[in-house]
Amino acid sequence: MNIMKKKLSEVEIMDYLDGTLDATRREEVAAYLHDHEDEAMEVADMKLAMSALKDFDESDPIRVSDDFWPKLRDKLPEQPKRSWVRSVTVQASAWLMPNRSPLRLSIGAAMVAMFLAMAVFLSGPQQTVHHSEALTTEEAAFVKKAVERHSNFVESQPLSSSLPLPVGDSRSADSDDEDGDSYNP
Amino acid sequence: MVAMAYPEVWAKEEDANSDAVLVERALDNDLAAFERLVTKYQNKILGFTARMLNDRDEAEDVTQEVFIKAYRSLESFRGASAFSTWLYRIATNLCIDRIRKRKRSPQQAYSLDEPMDKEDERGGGREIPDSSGEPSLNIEREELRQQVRITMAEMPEKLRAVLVMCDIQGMAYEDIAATLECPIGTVKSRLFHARADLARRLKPYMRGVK
Repeated sequence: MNIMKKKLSEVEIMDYLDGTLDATRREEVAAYLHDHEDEAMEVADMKLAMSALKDFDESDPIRVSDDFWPKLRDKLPEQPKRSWVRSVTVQASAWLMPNRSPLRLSIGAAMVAMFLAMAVFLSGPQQTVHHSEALTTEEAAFVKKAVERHSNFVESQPLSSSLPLPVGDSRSADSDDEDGDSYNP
Repeated sequence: MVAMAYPEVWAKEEDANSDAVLVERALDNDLAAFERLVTKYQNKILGFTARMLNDRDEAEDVTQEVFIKAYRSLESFRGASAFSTWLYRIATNLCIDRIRKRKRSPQQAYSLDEPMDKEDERGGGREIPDSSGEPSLNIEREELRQQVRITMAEMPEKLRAVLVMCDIQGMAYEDIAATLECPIGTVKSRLFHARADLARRLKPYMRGVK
């Protein structure tokens, strides 16, 4: 058996007096008290005090007077206050499932409403926000170079040769048109 | 999933006389339902207030106040705790207010030597049935009871409340903790000090009665 050297705590003493300690612990506490007379006397005095208190209470039974309810009834206000929300919830739940307790149904209805609200919130259209990402230095340099090369290529090409001739059409791209807007580099 | 959240609520059909049902009916202006609640708890609440205040008449007034207050705030009772816990909470607060008011007005102090039941004054004191055939033992027993009354009246109200709830009313620690809105460890600690105080004060009177 574990020999207890530490002083008993207040909670332990209460549990011992109330008989709620498990068998092993109860034996340990009893053994401790056997070896510590002062504490054992304190616990014994407490037991006697509890017994005296019980005797005191039983010797003086307390009951309300016969006119307790009539006096109380006269003092009660007209009607207890009731919020319309609670009224509606209870009435609706009683109507939907008349055999169920309104209180239980109110709780259930509130839970269902909460779950529905959460479901709508979580499954609703998500905002798709694409944040633009900055190009890396290499990517920026590549794009710039590509644009420059394209620009140079376009400028280096003569206009007439840059415009494809329609099939079957022997006229050149810079042939005169009637409006006089032909291009002749 | 809803049933899992409140298993004790959904597990069985609620009794038509359960406190929750009676509260709902009272809120629907069914006074008979409220009367049933009062009848169910009036003696328990009076027992508590009487031990806290050590004055029978004042205790009955306070008990009436408890039920009036409960009736007025019935809407705010959500069923998170037991109805009795809620009533005890109201009763504890009202008793503590009364006790503090007494301390502020010393001219209203009550004699601790007066018997609690005023009817006993006719006979000059409480009659003790002499079943043991030993008058001296009965006198010692009566002295012990008187000392219990005095000790409790002089005990700090927080300790007194726990002692009355646990050792007189027989409430479980969980219910006391819920009523006083404190941890169970605090309840046990206060109970320890209350019992220790009572034991120390009663020790000289317990020698003959052991």
